[in-house]
Amino acid sequence: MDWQTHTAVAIVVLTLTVFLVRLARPRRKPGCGHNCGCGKNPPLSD
Amino acid sequence: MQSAPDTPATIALIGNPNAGKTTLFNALTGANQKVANYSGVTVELKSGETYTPHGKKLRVLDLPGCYALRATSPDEKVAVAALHGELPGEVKPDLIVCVADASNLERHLQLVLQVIELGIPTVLALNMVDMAEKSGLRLDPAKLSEELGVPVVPMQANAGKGVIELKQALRFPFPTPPQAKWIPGTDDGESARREFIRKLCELAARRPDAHQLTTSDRLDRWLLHPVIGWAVFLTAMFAVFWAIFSFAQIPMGWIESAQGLVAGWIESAMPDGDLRSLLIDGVLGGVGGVLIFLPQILLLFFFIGLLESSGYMARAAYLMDGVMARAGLSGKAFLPLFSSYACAIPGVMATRTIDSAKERLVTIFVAPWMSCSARLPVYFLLVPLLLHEDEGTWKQALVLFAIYTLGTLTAFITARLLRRKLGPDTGPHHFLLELPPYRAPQWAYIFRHVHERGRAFVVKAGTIILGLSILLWALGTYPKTEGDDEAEALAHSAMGRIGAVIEPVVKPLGFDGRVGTAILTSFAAREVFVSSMAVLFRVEETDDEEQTRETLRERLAAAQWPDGRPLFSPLAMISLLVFYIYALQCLPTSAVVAREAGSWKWALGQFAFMCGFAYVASLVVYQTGTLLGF
Repeated sequence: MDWQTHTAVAIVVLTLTVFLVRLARPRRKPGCGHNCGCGKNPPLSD
Repeated sequence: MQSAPDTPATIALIGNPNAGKTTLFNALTGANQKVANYSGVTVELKSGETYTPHGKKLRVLDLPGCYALRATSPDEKVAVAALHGELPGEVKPDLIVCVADASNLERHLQLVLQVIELGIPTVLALNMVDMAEKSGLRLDPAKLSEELGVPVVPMQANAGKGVIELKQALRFPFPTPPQAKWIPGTDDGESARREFIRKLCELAARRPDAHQLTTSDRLDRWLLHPVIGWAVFLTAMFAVFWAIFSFAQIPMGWIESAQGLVAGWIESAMPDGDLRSLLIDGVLGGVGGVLIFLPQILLLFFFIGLLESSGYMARAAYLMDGVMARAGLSGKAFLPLFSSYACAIPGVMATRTIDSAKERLVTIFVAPWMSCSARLPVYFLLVPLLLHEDEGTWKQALVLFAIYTLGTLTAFITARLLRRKLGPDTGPHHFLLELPPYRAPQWAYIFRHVHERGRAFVVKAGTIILGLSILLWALGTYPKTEGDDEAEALAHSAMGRIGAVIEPVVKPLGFDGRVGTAILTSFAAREVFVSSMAVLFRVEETDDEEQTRETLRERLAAAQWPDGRPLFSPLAMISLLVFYIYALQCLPTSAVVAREAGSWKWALGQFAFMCGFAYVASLVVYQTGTLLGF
């Protein structure tokens, strides 16, 4: 493998790692995080 | 529970829809919340910070617009709960700034009186006094203040006039809670308020004796006309689509040239190899293939902003009310559905303004069928393939218009069927529409909104799409073959193998394995389809620079089935367009639907239904077309 292949494979592995880490990271709670009420289910009228 | 002594005092902005709360909120806090000359823009609580003239910090809440404090719709319930300090994690406001449109004072005072009755210190922000004075209304803010028992600040929030005076009124200590003059001695609060408002307006907001037709009234005679109004509406919508196609050509050419320059520079600086291929075919092909549509997306948001800000959007809602009724919905569903043309997420959230729970669920269900801006790159890629630019951009605009119409009509038919299945509402619901006066567009807000949307698009292209382009390039490159045959190399690669597995599923729709793979990658976000196609359909590089700079469109036009038939026949492209009109390929939308509908079942049902519908519709189009000899 030449240097171009090494670098390309490294970039691909890094990208894949970033995607996997982002997928595995615990998700933020819904809403904007500022007590704005937007993360709560609004009551339905009927 | 009110604010503790060491925490900043909380001020709530409340008012009728389209009274200018969000404009005032932005002026006070320096925030950049979306503003429109249309009711229902604020559907949830937003908070920001401002300072008194003495430097004391205040927390400002922008509440959704409501006509009265007897809440029926979800957004009104949020507003009322916030005023009573009943929202979890929110304190009761220390002061209420009631924003009223001075030119419609009789109606806006209904809410003002109800707010004053709460017994919380209140300031009345008398907005749009310029419009009121133009209509001949003679306002007496001092008399209003005396009669209501609260400070009254005349202002013009969109021009920043009166904001300093309002801040002066927010000084500590806050004004004492007013005494409602109109309640004592009567059992009927509603009648007492009406009578008080009538007397108050005679004293402090006198209209000229003879009713004067304003410019807006005169314009509305034509723009709301049952025939001419519709003609203007359809012409305006068509003009927007035509302008998007025509005006964007020049900047798109610039982006294309820039891409060619960068690719040329990489080629001259690096020898042939995997890294060069990754940079040119993966990164530049993938990200550049999406970025090229930025001018068209910016233009779409510019026109939406223009229509909203000028006040025409409310007229469009008025015209559409009759159409909505045929779909079993009311005019209240217009804004959520129209917002969905930009993005289904704010559209789904805007359904909070709908009183009827059943109508709300139906609107949420069909909203993703309003063609959102994420579909535009796919349409912009395929429509010129179907109809070349030389045939006239108006024809391309017509096809785009037809695509939007097809999605909208299907949404309306489905809404009608679903609405019938869910049955009638248990209680009556009314549609009240504010027809604001026509105004000069607020250019600063329009351009800020366009800038934000553009930035979000570029960021997405630079993160998720960049990442997926790199991974797709790797799947299309590895494992490698010994020979130099490009077709053999692609078939041997992981992507080629995935495509071979998928091909039997998508072949009845007129697509090969590569198109099937691109569709599969676009389930995370639709616009990824374009970059996937750019990576999957790379052409062999030659010494001819012009040829290596061929656009993705040219590559697709040249693509063939193994037997030499063109892969992208007109029928296959129509089938692909139909698939993208109907398929729900947006994870964030499904997440918001689950939250707003209160159930993941609803979101999953919507996803399965829309994707199944897309497959069947595409299958019917392709197979019927083939049988008919197209």
